[in-house]
Amino acid sequence: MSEIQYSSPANVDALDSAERQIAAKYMRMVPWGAVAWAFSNLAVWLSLWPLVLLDIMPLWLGFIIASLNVSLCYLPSHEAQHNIIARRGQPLRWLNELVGHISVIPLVQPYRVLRDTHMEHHAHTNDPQLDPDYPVHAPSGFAFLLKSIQSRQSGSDANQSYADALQRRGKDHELIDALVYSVVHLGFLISMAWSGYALEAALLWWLPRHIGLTYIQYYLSWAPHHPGNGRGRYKDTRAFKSRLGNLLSLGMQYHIVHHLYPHIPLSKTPAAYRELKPILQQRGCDLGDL
Amino acid sequence: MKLFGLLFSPLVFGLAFLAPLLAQSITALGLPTAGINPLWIGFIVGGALGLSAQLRGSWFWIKP
Repeated sequence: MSEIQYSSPANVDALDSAERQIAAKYMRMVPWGAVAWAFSNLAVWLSLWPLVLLDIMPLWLGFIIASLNVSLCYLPSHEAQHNIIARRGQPLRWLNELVGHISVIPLVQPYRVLRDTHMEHHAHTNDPQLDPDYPVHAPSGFAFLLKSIQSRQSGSDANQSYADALQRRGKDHELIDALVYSVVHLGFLISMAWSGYALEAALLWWLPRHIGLTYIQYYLSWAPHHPGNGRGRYKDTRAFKSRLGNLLSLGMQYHIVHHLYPHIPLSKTPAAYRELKPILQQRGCDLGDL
Repeated sequence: MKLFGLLFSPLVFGLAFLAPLLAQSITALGLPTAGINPLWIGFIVGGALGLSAQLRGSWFWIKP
């Protein structure tokens, strides 16, 4: 596209219009890939239990697959959180909600809590007081890792930002969901352990969940918002080139597109980014080496 | 709320999950136990780790 001088108010309108027209091309489509991903990922993780308990699959292999399953389980729910599969009142709304709920079971995170806190993250990205994901900010990847481990210690108050976010939205009753999930998860782990399957419980759920949580936090919360001090539509999220590539970085290289247009499905963000890139450059966005 | 605090405490996790996990790990790895039941070793190690985490507020050297 031709270069538009951003300094002129008339051209700002032209730039806004061009940006919206490009974004509109990638919205209003059902991400069937994400739907299939949600069900198949959960089915694979569930199948690990009989396969490992019946000695059909070695535990070490189950552990690797389970870690992948947990690391991959959040994103379909994320599509549902933004009503990308179907908005309220649409025929496929039930599918949107089903995907939202079931895909994050391995992560032991309730969909309603994730959705409502995530909306607060979008509304207040990088705000130290109001962004529930703000506590993951750290000066480096290694500092993030330490912080992520710290946040899961009994003396940590890192989850307080989520409770506060729900309270602000008048949804603090959803904390009961989180409590129920945690009680069921702990009860399952303890029951399995005392039935002689402690190693299986530890390596198919407990440890993969911790690995997955760290991986998801790194690529969804830390990396796209680093250094975490920019505020505003074109400043709070960046594009970045991941050494692991787009798939292993969970598609988050293009997370800037998601924050600008949350209704664009994940699978369409690379194409939307490539088309939006000249505009984003004129906006002064941090696009890294991407 | 105190009941949930106790349920999710490191001490309960150490005794109720880590103890059998350690015992079954010892058995699976064939580690020598000098005649002591691996479950007792699990209780002692898991309980000590859980108690330490309970008092320090952290399982690791990294404190929140």
